[in-house]
Amino acid sequence: MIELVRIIAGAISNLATLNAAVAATPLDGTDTAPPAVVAVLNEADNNLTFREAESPAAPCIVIATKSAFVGHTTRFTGVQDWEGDVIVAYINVGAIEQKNRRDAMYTLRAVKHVLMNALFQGNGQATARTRNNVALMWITSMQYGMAEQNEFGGVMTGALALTCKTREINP
Amino acid sequence: MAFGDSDIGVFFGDMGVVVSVGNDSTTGLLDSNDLTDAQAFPGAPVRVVDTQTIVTIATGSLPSIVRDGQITVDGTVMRVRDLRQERDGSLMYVYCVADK
Repeated sequence: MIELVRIIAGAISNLATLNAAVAATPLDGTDTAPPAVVAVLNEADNNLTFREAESPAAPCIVIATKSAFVGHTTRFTGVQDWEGDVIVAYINVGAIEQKNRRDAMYTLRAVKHVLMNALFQGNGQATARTRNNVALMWITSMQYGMAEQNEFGGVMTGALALTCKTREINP
Repeated sequence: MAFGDSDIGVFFGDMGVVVSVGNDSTTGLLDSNDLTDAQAFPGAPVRVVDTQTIVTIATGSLPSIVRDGQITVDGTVMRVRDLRQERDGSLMYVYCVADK
């Protein structure tokens, strides 16, 4: 769902805000801070092939749909509701897997913080949650903690998976 | 005449590159492949292409090599991702990534 991807991308695309949150994320023990995010990409606008050999933008955040959106076939009172999954992915290149994994977890924690602030804090975020007659009503569940690095490669990937309920207005 | 452990150095000498760790140096075969990591984001249109760099050396030819340690391969500083003995143990695959 293009609108939803762009709504979420818009909420976290301010790199100054995002990296301030990354820097402010509390670190456990002697962990060191993750590197600043250099790009926020999304499937509606970008070619999402990330090549380790090139890695011009790392670490970066990528927003993409993960599933088809499911909705009722019947419209009610001029709206139609949809539910589906979106991932907010973290991609980085680094030689030490354990450090990469920690960086992924801390950065995604900061992303979650910025995302919730931008979309749901207070009562004034309806505009941020609406685009082209599609509104993000709520995020019904979230998965945090997925991170993996190819056994022999240098790319770490991690993601927040968000199950979102949206409302299409005047479908 | 059978190909034996004593022939490894000659074989690598023909087409190998210089590989060194600290003060130790040897010759190894360099392979570099781009692999699509299809498992990174199942279901999402995000493709990740890892560069898999493998250097094959004679086991024991770099005594100080360790996982996560630095290694210089054909003049490029890299980091050891994993070490695996192969076949009868006389060859070792060194999986490397760019040292970023």
